[in-house]
Amino acid sequence: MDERQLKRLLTEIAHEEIPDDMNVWHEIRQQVETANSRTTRRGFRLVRTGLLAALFVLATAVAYAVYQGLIGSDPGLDAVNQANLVTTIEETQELGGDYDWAVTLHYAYADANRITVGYTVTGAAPARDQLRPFTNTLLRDSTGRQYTWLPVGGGGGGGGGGSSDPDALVPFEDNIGASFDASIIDDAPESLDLTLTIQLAYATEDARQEFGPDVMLPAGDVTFEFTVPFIAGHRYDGPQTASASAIDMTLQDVVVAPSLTRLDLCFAAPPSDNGKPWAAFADVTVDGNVVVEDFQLLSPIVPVADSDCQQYVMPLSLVEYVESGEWTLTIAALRAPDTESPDTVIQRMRDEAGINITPLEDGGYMFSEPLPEDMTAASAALADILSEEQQTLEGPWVFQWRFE
Amino acid sequence: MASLVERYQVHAARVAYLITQDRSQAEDVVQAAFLRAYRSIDGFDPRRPFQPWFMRIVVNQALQTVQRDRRELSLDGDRQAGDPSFMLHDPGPTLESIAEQTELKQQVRQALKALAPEERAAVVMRYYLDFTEREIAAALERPAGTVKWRLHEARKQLRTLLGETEAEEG
Repeated sequence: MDERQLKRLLTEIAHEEIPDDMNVWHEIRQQVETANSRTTRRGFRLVRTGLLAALFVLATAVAYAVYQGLIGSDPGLDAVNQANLVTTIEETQELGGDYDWAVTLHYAYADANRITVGYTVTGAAPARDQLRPFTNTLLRDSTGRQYTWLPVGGGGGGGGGGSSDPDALVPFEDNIGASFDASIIDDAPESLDLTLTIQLAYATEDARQEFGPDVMLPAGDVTFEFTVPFIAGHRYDGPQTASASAIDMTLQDVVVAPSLTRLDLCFAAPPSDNGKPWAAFADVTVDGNVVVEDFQLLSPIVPVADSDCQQYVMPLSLVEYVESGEWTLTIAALRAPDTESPDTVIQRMRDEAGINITPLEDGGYMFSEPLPEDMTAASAALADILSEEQQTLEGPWVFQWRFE
Repeated sequence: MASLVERYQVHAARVAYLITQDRSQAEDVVQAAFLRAYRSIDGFDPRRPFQPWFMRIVVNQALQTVQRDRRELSLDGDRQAGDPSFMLHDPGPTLESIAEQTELKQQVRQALKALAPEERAAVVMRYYLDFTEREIAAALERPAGTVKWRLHEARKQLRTLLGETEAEEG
Protein backbone atom coordinates (compact mmCIF):
# COMPACT_ATOMS: atom_id res chain seq x y z
CA MET A 1 0.00 0.00 0.00
CA ASP A 2 1.49 3.30 -1.04
CA GLU A 3 0.86 6.73 0.39
CA ARG A 4 -1.85 7.46 -2.16
CA GLN A 5 -3.74 4.33 -1.21
CA LEU A 6 -3.41 5.14 2.47
CA LYS A 7 -4.77 8.63 1.84
CA ARG A 8 -7.70 7.20 -0.12
CA LEU A 9 -8.53 4.72 2.61
CA LEU A 10 -8.29 7.35 5.32
CA THR A 11 -10.60 9.55 3.28
CA GLU A 12 -13.10 6.76 2.78
CA ILE A 13 -13.11 5.87 6.46
CA ALA A 14 -13.56 9.49 7.47
CA HIS A 15 -16.40 9.96 4.99
CA GLU A 16 -18.16 6.82 6.17
CA GLU A 17 -18.08 7.96 9.78
CA ILE A 18 -18.75 11.67 9.37
CA PRO A 19 -21.54 12.44 6.88
CA ASP A 20 -21.53 15.54 4.70
CA ASP A 21 -24.53 16.99 6.50
CA MET A 22 -23.02 16.87 9.98
CA ASN A 23 -23.80 20.21 11.61
CA VAL A 24 -22.74 21.33 15.07
CA TRP A 25 -23.34 25.04 14.52
CA HIS A 26 -26.16 25.28 17.07
CA GLU A 27 -23.99 23.74 19.79
CA ILE A 28 -21.10 26.03 18.88
CA ARG A 29 -23.33 29.10 18.84
CA GLN A 30 -24.66 28.25 22.30
CA GLN A 31 -21.12 27.93 23.62
CA VAL A 32 -20.02 31.16 21.95
CA GLU A 33 -22.98 33.03 23.44
CA THR A 34 -22.17 31.60 26.84
CA ALA A 35 -18.55 32.64 26.43
CA ASN A 36 -19.62 36.11 25.37
CA SER A 37 -21.79 36.57 28.43
CA ARG A 38 -18.74 35.82 30.53
CA THR A 39 -16.51 38.24 28.67
CA THR A 40 -14.91 40.72 31.01
CA ARG A 41 -14.43 44.37 30.25
CA ARG A 42 -10.75 43.71 30.08
CA GLY A 43 -11.34 41.71 26.93
CA PHE A 44 -12.07 44.86 25.01
CA ARG A 45 -8.50 45.93 25.36
CA LEU A 46 -7.59 43.53 22.59
CA VAL A 47 -9.79 45.06 19.92
CA ARG A 48 -7.44 45.07 17.00
CA THR A 49 -6.52 48.25 15.28
CA GLY A 50 -6.32 46.28 12.07
CA LEU A 51 -9.93 45.29 12.48
CA LEU A 52 -11.00 48.85 13.11
CA ALA A 53 -9.06 49.91 10.06
CA ALA A 54 -10.90 47.27 8.06
CA LEU A 55 -14.19 48.59 9.38
CA PHE A 56 -13.16 52.08 8.38
CA VAL A 57 -12.49 50.98 4.83
CA LEU A 58 -15.79 49.17 4.66
CA ALA A 59 -17.70 52.10 6.12
CA THR A 60 -16.33 54.54 3.62
CA ALA A 61 -17.32 52.32 0.75
CA VAL A 62 -20.15 49.90 1.38
CA ALA A 63 -20.32 48.52 4.87
CA TYR A 64 -21.10 44.91 4.09
CA ALA A 65 -21.27 43.06 7.35
CA VAL A 66 -18.60 40.52 6.56
CA TYR A 67 -16.45 41.49 9.55
CA GLN A 68 -19.19 41.74 12.12
CA GLY A 69 -18.80 38.25 13.43
CA LEU A 70 -15.27 39.05 14.52
CA ILE A 71 -16.00 42.11 16.59
CA GLY A 72 -16.92 40.30 19.73
CA SER A 73 -19.46 40.64 22.45
CA ASP A 74 -21.75 43.53 23.21
CA PRO A 75 -22.53 43.86 26.93
CA GLY A 76 -24.63 47.00 26.37
CA LEU A 77 -26.96 45.23 23.98
CA ASP A 78 -27.03 42.17 26.23
CA ALA A 79 -28.16 44.46 29.08
CA VAL A 80 -31.06 46.01 27.19
CA ASN A 81 -32.07 42.60 25.94
CA GLN A 82 -32.17 41.21 29.45
CA ALA A 83 -34.18 44.26 30.56
CA ASN A 84 -36.73 43.52 27.80
CA LEU A 85 -36.18 46.90 26.21
CA VAL A 86 -35.94 45.62 22.64
CA THR A 87 -38.99 45.66 20.37
CA THR A 88 -39.85 42.32 18.81
CA ILE A 89 -40.78 42.60 15.14
CA GLU A 90 -40.41 39.15 13.51
CA GLU A 91 -41.38 40.24 10.02
CA THR A 92 -40.19 38.29 7.00
CA GLN A 93 -39.77 39.57 3.47
CA GLU A 94 -39.10 37.17 0.64
CA LEU A 95 -36.92 38.28 -2.22
CA GLY A 96 -36.92 34.90 -3.95
CA GLY A 97 -34.61 34.66 -6.94
CA ASP A 98 -32.24 31.86 -7.79
CA TYR A 99 -31.26 31.37 -4.17
CA ASP A 100 -34.70 31.83 -2.60
CA TRP A 101 -33.55 34.80 -0.50
CA ALA A 102 -35.61 35.81 2.53
CA VAL A 103 -34.90 38.29 5.32
CA THR A 104 -36.50 38.24 8.74
CA LEU A 105 -36.26 41.35 10.91
CA HIS A 106 -36.36 40.03 14.47
CA TYR A 107 -36.02 43.08 16.69
CA ALA A 108 -35.10 46.75 16.93
CA TYR A 109 -33.89 48.98 19.73
CA ALA A 110 -33.23 52.72 19.99
CA ASP A 111 -31.72 55.00 22.60
CA ALA A 112 -29.86 58.30 22.56
CA ASN A 113 -26.60 56.67 21.57
CA ARG A 114 -27.50 53.93 19.14
CA ILE A 115 -30.14 52.12 17.16
CA THR A 116 -29.74 48.37 16.72
CA VAL A 117 -31.58 45.93 14.50
CA GLY A 118 -31.28 42.17 14.42
CA TYR A 119 -32.12 40.19 11.31
CA THR A 120 -31.52 36.88 9.60
CA VAL A 121 -30.87 36.26 5.94
CA THR A 122 -31.77 32.81 4.66
CA GLY A 123 -31.81 30.99 1.35
CA ALA A 124 -30.58 27.89 -0.39
CA ALA A 125 -27.93 27.38 -3.04
CA PRO A 126 -26.59 24.38 -4.94
CA ALA A 127 -23.66 22.85 -3.08
CA ARG A 128 -21.35 23.45 -6.03
CA ASP A 129 -21.83 27.24 -5.71
CA GLN A 130 -20.33 27.36 -2.19
CA LEU A 131 -22.33 30.53 -1.72
CA ARG A 132 -21.47 33.17 0.87
CA PRO A 133 -24.15 35.79 1.60
CA PHE A 134 -23.36 39.42 2.47
CA THR A 135 -25.61 42.22 3.65
CA ASN A 136 -25.42 45.98 3.92
CA THR A 137 -27.90 47.98 5.98
CA LEU A 138 -29.15 51.53 5.41
CA LEU A 139 -31.28 53.21 8.08
CA ARG A 140 -33.23 56.44 7.96
CA ASP A 141 -36.18 57.87 9.88
CA SER A 142 -39.34 59.73 8.97
CA THR A 143 -37.68 63.11 9.55
CA GLY A 144 -35.04 62.33 6.92
CA ARG A 145 -32.17 61.57 9.27
CA GLN A 146 -29.78 58.94 7.93
CA TYR A 147 -27.83 56.93 10.47
CA THR A 148 -24.25 55.77 10.08
CA TRP A 149 -22.95 52.39 11.15
CA LEU A 150 -21.35 51.99 14.59
CA PRO A 151 -18.43 49.59 15.09
CA VAL A 152 -20.02 47.80 18.02
CA GLY A 153 -22.01 44.68 18.47
CA GLY A 154 -21.61 41.60 16.47
CA GLY A 155 -22.90 39.28 13.93
CA GLY A 156 -23.06 35.71 14.78
CA GLY A 157 -24.78 33.89 12.11
CA GLY A 158 -26.05 30.53 11.29
CA GLY A 159 -24.65 27.61 9.49
CA GLY A 160 -25.82 25.49 6.70
CA GLY A 161 -25.35 21.95 5.72
CA GLY A 162 -23.11 20.46 3.14
CA SER A 163 -23.62 17.85 0.49
CA SER A 164 -21.52 15.63 -1.68
CA ASP A 165 -24.09 16.08 -4.44
CA PRO A 166 -23.09 19.30 -6.25
CA ASP A 167 -26.69 19.88 -7.36
CA ALA A 168 -28.19 19.44 -3.91
CA LEU A 169 -29.67 22.61 -2.46
CA VAL A 170 -27.82 23.62 0.69
CA PRO A 171 -29.58 26.09 3.01
CA PHE A 172 -27.64 29.10 4.27
CA GLU A 173 -28.36 31.44 7.14
CA ASP A 174 -26.70 34.61 8.37
CA ASN A 175 -27.70 36.30 11.63
CA ILE A 176 -26.70 39.95 11.85
CA GLY A 177 -26.89 42.57 14.58
CA ALA A 178 -26.29 46.01 13.07
CA SER A 179 -25.88 49.15 15.17
CA PHE A 180 -26.15 52.78 14.09
CA ASP A 181 -25.01 56.04 15.64
CA ALA A 182 -28.01 57.82 17.17
CA SER A 183 -26.13 60.87 18.42
CA ILE A 184 -27.59 62.95 15.60
CA ILE A 185 -30.97 62.85 17.36
CA ASP A 186 -30.97 66.18 19.17
CA ASP A 187 -34.40 65.92 20.76
CA ALA A 188 -36.13 63.19 22.76
CA PRO A 189 -38.97 61.75 20.70
CA GLU A 190 -41.16 59.09 22.27
CA SER A 191 -40.54 56.84 19.30
CA LEU A 192 -38.81 56.70 15.95
CA ASP A 193 -40.45 55.78 12.66
CA LEU A 194 -37.66 53.95 10.87
CA THR A 195 -37.03 52.59 7.40
CA LEU A 196 -34.43 49.86 7.15
CA THR A 197 -33.14 48.82 3.76
CA ILE A 198 -31.12 45.62 3.67
CA GLN A 199 -29.06 45.15 0.53
CA LEU A 200 -28.14 41.57 -0.26
CA ALA A 201 -25.10 40.36 -2.10
CA TYR A 202 -23.34 37.05 -2.51
CA ALA A 203 -20.24 35.35 -3.80
CA THR A 204 -20.03 31.93 -5.41
CA GLU A 205 -16.98 29.80 -5.97
CA ASP A 206 -17.13 30.46 -9.70
CA ALA A 207 -17.27 34.22 -9.09
CA ARG A 208 -14.36 34.06 -6.67
CA GLN A 209 -12.33 32.12 -9.20
CA GLU A 210 -13.13 34.63 -11.94
CA PHE A 211 -13.03 37.94 -10.08
CA GLY A 212 -11.00 37.27 -6.96
CA PRO A 213 -11.79 36.48 -3.32
CA ASP A 214 -13.48 39.81 -2.53
CA VAL A 215 -16.12 39.70 -5.24
CA MET A 216 -19.73 40.45 -4.27
CA LEU A 217 -22.64 40.11 -6.69
CA PRO A 218 -25.81 42.09 -5.91
CA ALA A 219 -28.95 40.07 -5.23
CA GLY A 220 -31.44 42.86 -4.53
CA ASP A 221 -32.75 44.52 -1.41
CA VAL A 222 -35.67 44.46 1.01
CA THR A 223 -37.14 47.30 3.07
CA PHE A 224 -38.79 47.23 6.47
CA GLU A 225 -40.77 50.06 8.01
CA PHE A 226 -41.37 49.98 11.73
CA THR A 227 -41.69 52.08 14.86
CA VAL A 228 -39.50 51.64 17.90
CA PRO A 229 -39.65 53.39 21.30
CA PHE A 230 -36.84 55.87 21.93
CA ILE A 231 -35.02 55.94 25.27
CA ALA A 232 -33.41 59.27 26.13
CA GLY A 233 -29.91 59.41 27.57
CA HIS A 234 -28.39 61.08 30.60
CA ARG A 235 -26.18 63.92 29.54
CA TYR A 236 -23.29 65.82 31.08
CA ASP A 237 -22.27 68.95 29.22
CA GLY A 238 -18.73 70.18 29.68
CA PRO A 239 -16.38 71.36 28.74
CA GLN A 240 -13.63 70.70 31.19
CA THR A 241 -9.93 70.39 30.39
CA ALA A 242 -7.11 68.36 31.95
CA SER A 243 -3.41 68.34 31.09
CA ALA A 244 -0.68 65.70 31.06
CA SER A 245 2.38 65.04 28.90
CA ALA A 246 2.07 68.65 27.74
CA ILE A 247 -1.23 67.80 26.06
CA ASP A 248 -4.53 69.48 26.89
CA MET A 249 -7.51 67.15 26.70
CA THR A 250 -11.05 68.48 26.79
CA LEU A 251 -14.13 66.48 27.65
CA GLN A 252 -16.95 68.14 25.74
CA ASP A 253 -19.83 66.00 26.89
CA VAL A 254 -20.86 62.54 28.04
CA VAL A 255 -24.09 60.73 27.19
CA VAL A 256 -25.04 57.58 29.07
CA ALA A 257 -27.82 55.48 27.55
CA PRO A 258 -28.90 51.93 28.39
CA SER A 259 -26.92 50.28 25.58
CA LEU A 260 -23.89 52.53 25.16
CA THR A 261 -21.83 55.32 26.72
CA ARG A 262 -20.53 58.10 24.49
CA LEU A 263 -17.72 60.57 25.15
CA ASP A 264 -16.76 63.58 23.06
CA LEU A 265 -13.07 64.22 23.58
CA CYS A 266 -10.73 66.78 22.06
CA PHE A 267 -6.95 66.67 22.17
CA ALA A 268 -4.05 67.55 19.90
CA ALA A 269 -1.35 64.91 20.28
CA PRO A 270 1.78 64.77 18.14
CA PRO A 271 1.71 62.12 15.40
CA SER A 272 2.62 58.64 16.60
CA ASP A 273 5.81 57.01 15.30
CA ASN A 274 3.91 54.91 12.77
CA GLY A 275 1.27 57.51 11.98
CA LYS A 276 -1.59 55.44 13.39
CA PRO A 277 -4.22 57.14 15.55
CA TRP A 278 -3.68 57.14 19.28
CA ALA A 279 -5.86 54.77 21.28
CA ALA A 280 -7.26 56.08 24.57
CA PHE A 281 -7.50 53.81 27.61
CA ALA A 282 -10.02 54.79 30.25
CA ASP A 283 -11.07 54.01 33.81
CA VAL A 284 -14.39 55.13 35.23
CA THR A 285 -15.19 55.30 38.91
CA VAL A 286 -18.46 56.38 40.51
CA ASP A 287 -18.19 57.55 44.09
CA GLY A 288 -14.81 55.87 44.23
CA ASN A 289 -16.05 52.48 43.00
CA VAL A 290 -14.42 51.20 39.84
CA VAL A 291 -17.05 50.47 37.16
CA VAL A 292 -14.80 50.45 34.08
CA GLU A 293 -11.14 49.52 34.14
CA ASP A 294 -8.47 49.96 31.47
CA PHE A 295 -10.97 50.06 28.64
CA GLN A 296 -9.84 50.98 25.13
CA LEU A 297 -12.34 53.54 23.91
CA LEU A 298 -13.69 52.60 20.51
CA SER A 299 -12.78 55.17 17.92
CA PRO A 300 -15.24 56.48 15.36
CA ILE A 301 -15.43 54.65 12.03
CA VAL A 302 -15.18 57.92 10.17
CA PRO A 303 -13.19 60.49 12.18
CA VAL A 304 -14.26 64.11 11.93
CA ALA A 305 -11.88 65.51 9.35
CA ASP A 306 -9.32 68.12 10.40
CA SER A 307 -10.57 68.16 13.95
CA ASP A 308 -9.00 67.38 17.30
CA CYS A 309 -12.45 66.42 18.59
CA GLN A 310 -13.78 62.91 18.07
CA GLN A 311 -16.59 60.80 19.41
CA TYR A 312 -15.62 57.70 21.37
CA VAL A 313 -17.92 54.97 22.63
CA MET A 314 -17.99 52.18 25.18
CA PRO A 315 -20.63 49.50 24.46
CA LEU A 316 -21.35 49.19 28.17
CA SER A 317 -24.54 49.85 30.08
CA LEU A 318 -23.71 52.33 32.85
CA VAL A 319 -27.15 53.86 33.47
CA GLU A 320 -27.42 52.21 36.86
CA TYR A 321 -24.64 54.48 38.11
CA VAL A 322 -26.11 57.76 36.85
CA GLU A 323 -27.96 58.55 40.06
CA SER A 324 -25.11 57.40 42.26
CA GLY A 325 -23.03 60.51 42.61
CA GLU A 326 -19.69 61.75 41.38
CA TRP A 327 -18.22 60.26 38.24
CA THR A 328 -14.50 60.26 37.53
CA LEU A 329 -13.18 59.51 34.05
CA THR A 330 -9.47 58.87 33.92
CA ILE A 331 -7.72 58.62 30.57
CA ALA A 332 -4.67 56.80 31.87
CA ALA A 333 -2.68 56.86 28.65
CA LEU A 334 -2.70 57.27 24.91
CA ARG A 335 -1.02 54.39 23.13
CA ALA A 336 0.01 54.01 19.52
CA PRO A 337 -0.78 50.50 18.29
CA ASP A 338 1.86 48.38 16.59
CA THR A 339 4.79 50.53 17.66
CA GLU A 340 6.20 47.83 19.90
CA SER A 341 9.09 45.54 18.99
CA PRO A 342 7.55 42.13 18.19
CA ASP A 343 10.74 40.33 19.24
CA THR A 344 10.59 41.96 22.64
CA VAL A 345 6.91 41.13 23.09
CA ILE A 346 7.46 37.50 22.05
CA GLN A 347 10.39 37.15 24.45
CA ARG A 348 8.52 38.75 27.34
CA MET A 349 5.44 36.57 26.79
CA ARG A 350 7.66 33.49 26.86
CA ASP A 351 9.64 34.61 29.90
CA GLU A 352 6.88 36.18 31.97
CA ALA A 353 3.80 34.20 31.02
CA GLY A 354 5.29 30.99 29.62
CA ILE A 355 3.24 31.47 26.46
CA ASN A 356 4.45 31.34 22.86
CA ILE A 357 3.00 33.80 20.38
CA THR A 358 3.55 34.46 16.69
CA PRO A 359 3.55 37.95 15.14
CA LEU A 360 1.23 38.65 12.23
CA GLU A 361 2.20 40.61 9.18
CA ASP A 362 -0.23 43.47 9.71
CA GLY A 363 0.48 43.86 13.39
CA GLY A 364 -1.01 41.88 16.21
CA TYR A 365 -0.18 38.41 17.44
CA MET A 366 -1.51 34.88 17.35
CA PHE A 367 -1.19 32.41 20.18
CA SER A 368 0.91 29.42 19.15
CA GLU A 369 -0.23 25.86 19.59
CA PRO A 370 -0.90 24.42 22.02
CA LEU A 371 -3.21 27.30 22.90
CA PRO A 372 -3.15 28.49 26.50
CA GLU A 373 -5.70 26.82 28.73
CA ASP A 374 -6.84 30.15 30.14
CA MET A 375 -7.27 32.38 27.10
CA THR A 376 -8.60 35.29 29.13
CA ALA A 377 -5.52 35.34 31.34
CA ALA A 378 -3.25 34.89 28.32
CA SER A 379 -4.95 37.77 26.48
CA ALA A 380 -4.62 39.95 29.56
CA ALA A 381 -0.91 39.13 29.87
CA LEU A 382 -0.40 40.04 26.22
CA ALA A 383 -2.35 43.26 26.64
CA ASP A 384 -0.28 44.21 29.68
CA ILE A 385 2.98 43.66 27.84
CA LEU A 386 1.75 45.53 24.77
CA SER A 387 0.67 48.44 26.92
CA GLU A 388 4.17 48.64 28.35
CA GLU A 389 5.98 48.22 25.04
CA GLN A 390 3.88 50.43 22.78
CA GLN A 391 4.67 54.09 22.27
CA THR A 392 2.77 55.78 25.06
CA LEU A 393 1.80 59.27 26.08
CA GLU A 394 1.29 58.97 29.80
CA GLY A 395 -1.68 60.58 31.48
CA PRO A 396 -3.58 60.79 33.54
CA TRP A 397 -6.17 63.17 32.21
CA VAL A 398 -8.85 63.23 34.89
CA PHE A 399 -12.41 64.59 34.60
CA GLN A 400 -15.12 64.69 37.26
CA TRP A 401 -18.81 65.49 37.06
CA ARG A 402 -22.30 64.68 38.31
CA PHE A 403 -25.33 64.04 36.16
CA GLU A 404 -28.08 66.60 36.88
CA MET B 1 -18.04 32.66 12.41
CA ALA B 2 -21.04 30.88 11.00
CA SER B 3 -19.52 30.74 7.55
CA LEU B 4 -16.31 29.32 8.99
CA VAL B 5 -18.22 26.63 10.83
CA GLU B 6 -20.24 25.84 7.74
CA ARG B 7 -17.16 25.56 5.64
CA TYR B 8 -14.82 23.63 7.89
CA GLN B 9 -16.88 21.65 10.39
CA VAL B 10 -17.21 18.45 8.36
CA HIS B 11 -13.56 18.33 7.38
CA ALA B 12 -12.58 19.10 10.97
CA ALA B 13 -14.84 16.35 12.27
CA ARG B 14 -13.27 13.85 9.89
CA VAL B 15 -9.80 14.78 11.06
CA ALA B 16 -10.95 14.55 14.67
CA TYR B 17 -12.57 11.18 14.05
CA LEU B 18 -9.45 9.71 12.50
CA ILE B 19 -7.51 10.71 15.60
CA THR B 20 -10.06 9.97 18.32
CA GLN B 21 -11.65 6.97 16.53
CA ASP B 22 -14.93 8.02 18.11
CA ARG B 23 -17.75 9.90 16.35
CA SER B 24 -19.16 11.52 19.44
CA GLN B 25 -15.75 12.63 20.63
CA ALA B 26 -15.03 13.99 17.15
CA GLU B 27 -18.08 16.27 17.32
CA ASP B 28 -17.03 17.44 20.78
CA VAL B 29 -13.55 18.14 19.45
CA VAL B 30 -14.94 20.24 16.59
CA GLN B 31 -17.05 22.31 18.97
CA ALA B 32 -14.14 22.85 21.33
CA ALA B 33 -11.80 23.71 18.46
CA PHE B 34 -14.15 26.32 17.03
CA LEU B 35 -14.58 27.81 20.49
CA ARG B 36 -10.81 28.01 20.92
CA ALA B 37 -10.47 29.55 17.47
CA TYR B 38 -13.20 32.06 18.32
CA ARG B 39 -11.48 33.01 21.55
CA SER B 40 -8.21 33.65 19.76
CA ILE B 41 -9.69 35.11 16.59
CA ASP B 42 -8.55 38.63 17.45
CA GLY B 43 -5.04 37.41 16.84
CA PHE B 44 -5.86 35.78 13.52
CA ASP B 45 -5.01 37.52 10.27
CA PRO B 46 -8.09 37.09 8.06
CA ARG B 47 -5.97 37.43 4.93
CA ARG B 48 -4.16 34.22 5.75
CA PRO B 49 -5.59 30.79 5.00
CA PHE B 50 -7.79 29.75 7.86
CA GLN B 51 -7.68 26.01 7.31
CA PRO B 52 -4.07 25.16 8.26
CA TRP B 53 -4.28 27.31 11.39
CA PHE B 54 -7.60 25.81 12.38
CA MET B 55 -6.63 22.21 11.63
CA ARG B 56 -3.70 22.59 13.99
CA ILE B 57 -6.19 23.48 16.70
CA VAL B 58 -8.36 20.50 15.74
CA VAL B 59 -5.45 18.05 15.85
CA ASN B 60 -4.24 19.29 19.21
CA GLN B 61 -7.76 19.33 20.63
CA ALA B 62 -8.29 15.76 19.43
CA LEU B 63 -5.01 14.65 20.96
CA GLN B 64 -5.88 16.27 24.27
CA THR B 65 -9.26 14.56 24.23
CA VAL B 66 -7.78 11.15 23.55
CA GLN B 67 -5.03 11.57 26.11
CA ARG B 68 -7.54 12.63 28.77
CA ASP B 69 -9.57 9.56 28.07
CA ARG B 70 -7.00 6.96 28.98
CA ARG B 71 -9.61 4.74 30.60
CA GLU B 72 -11.40 4.21 27.32
CA LEU B 73 -8.12 3.46 25.57
CA SER B 74 -7.27 0.77 28.05
CA LEU B 75 -10.74 -0.78 27.67
CA ASP B 76 -10.13 -0.99 23.96
CA GLY B 77 -7.01 -2.95 24.68
CA ASP B 78 -4.96 -0.61 22.54
CA ARG B 79 -1.29 -1.08 22.29
CA GLN B 80 0.74 1.58 24.02
CA ALA B 81 3.54 3.26 22.13
CA GLY B 82 6.81 1.44 22.47
CA ASP B 83 5.26 -1.92 23.40
CA PRO B 84 8.17 -4.26 22.54
CA SER B 85 5.96 -7.30 21.91
CA PHE B 86 4.30 -5.41 19.11
CA MET B 87 7.58 -4.83 17.33
CA LEU B 88 8.31 -8.56 17.14
CA HIS B 89 5.53 -9.37 14.71
CA ASP B 90 6.51 -10.49 11.27
CA PRO B 91 5.63 -7.74 8.81
CA GLY B 92 4.09 -10.37 6.53
CA PRO B 93 3.20 -9.62 2.94
CA THR B 94 3.95 -6.21 1.50
CA LEU B 95 1.25 -3.63 1.68
CA GLU B 96 1.02 -3.49 -2.11
CA SER B 97 0.10 -7.16 -2.25
CA ILE B 98 -2.98 -6.75 -0.07
CA ALA B 99 -4.15 -3.40 -1.43
CA GLU B 100 -6.83 -5.00 -3.57
CA GLN B 101 -8.37 -7.06 -0.80
CA THR B 102 -11.87 -6.05 0.17
CA GLU B 103 -11.03 -6.20 3.85
CA LEU B 104 -8.19 -3.77 3.55
CA LYS B 105 -10.19 -0.80 4.74
CA GLN B 106 -11.33 -2.65 7.82
CA GLN B 107 -7.77 -3.67 8.49
CA VAL B 108 -6.63 -0.08 8.19
CA ARG B 109 -9.33 0.90 10.66
CA GLN B 110 -8.05 -1.63 13.16
CA ALA B 111 -4.47 -0.69 12.50
CA LEU B 112 -5.22 2.97 13.08
CA LYS B 113 -6.90 2.17 16.37
CA ALA B 114 -3.87 0.27 17.52
CA LEU B 115 -1.51 3.18 16.94
CA ALA B 116 -0.62 5.45 19.81
CA PRO B 117 -2.58 8.74 19.62
CA GLU B 118 0.40 10.89 18.64
CA GLU B 119 1.38 8.45 15.93
CA ARG B 120 -2.19 8.44 14.70
CA ALA B 121 -2.17 12.25 14.65
CA ALA B 122 1.07 12.25 12.68
CA VAL B 123 -0.38 9.82 10.13
CA VAL B 124 -3.56 11.84 9.79
CA MET B 125 -1.67 15.10 9.34
CA ARG B 126 0.74 13.61 6.81
CA TYR B 127 -1.54 11.42 4.74
CA TYR B 128 -4.99 12.94 5.23
CA LEU B 129 -4.23 16.65 5.66
CA ASP B 130 -1.12 16.56 3.43
CA PHE B 131 0.94 18.48 5.97
CA THR B 132 4.67 18.48 5.43
CA GLU B 133 6.87 17.07 8.16
CA ARG B 134 7.86 20.61 9.06
CA GLU B 135 4.21 21.63 9.40
CA ILE B 136 3.51 18.60 11.56
CA ALA B 137 6.46 19.50 13.75
CA ALA B 138 5.10 23.02 14.17
CA ALA B 139 1.60 21.78 14.94
CA LEU B 140 2.73 19.26 17.53
CA GLU B 141 5.54 21.47 18.81
CA ARG B 142 8.00 18.65 18.40
CA PRO B 143 11.41 18.69 16.72
CA ALA B 144 11.31 17.78 13.02
CA GLY B 145 13.48 14.75 13.72
CA THR B 146 10.99 13.45 16.25
CA VAL B 147 8.18 13.81 13.74
CA LYS B 148 10.18 12.03 11.07
CA TRP B 149 10.90 9.19 13.46
CA ARG B 150 7.27 9.05 14.60
CA LEU B 151 6.00 8.85 11.03
CA HIS B 152 8.53 6.16 10.24
CA GLU B 153 7.44 4.15 13.27
CA ALA B 154 3.78 4.67 12.46
CA ARG B 155 4.27 3.46 8.89
CA LYS B 156 6.19 0.45 10.13
CA GLN B 157 3.56 -0.36 12.71
CA LEU B 158 0.77 0.07 10.20
CA ARG B 159 2.48 -2.45 7.96
CA THR B 160 2.99 -4.79 10.87
CA LEU B 161 -0.58 -4.51 12.05
CA LEU B 162 -1.97 -5.04 8.58
CA GLY B 163 0.23 -8.05 8.13
CA GLU B 164 -0.76 -9.42 11.51
CA THR B 165 -4.44 -9.02 10.75
CA GLU B 166 -4.13 -10.75 7.44
CA ALA B 167 -2.16 -13.58 8.94
CA GLU B 168 -4.78 -14.06 11.64
CA GLU B 169 -7.57 -14.14 9.11
CA GLY B 170 -5.68 -16.34 6.73
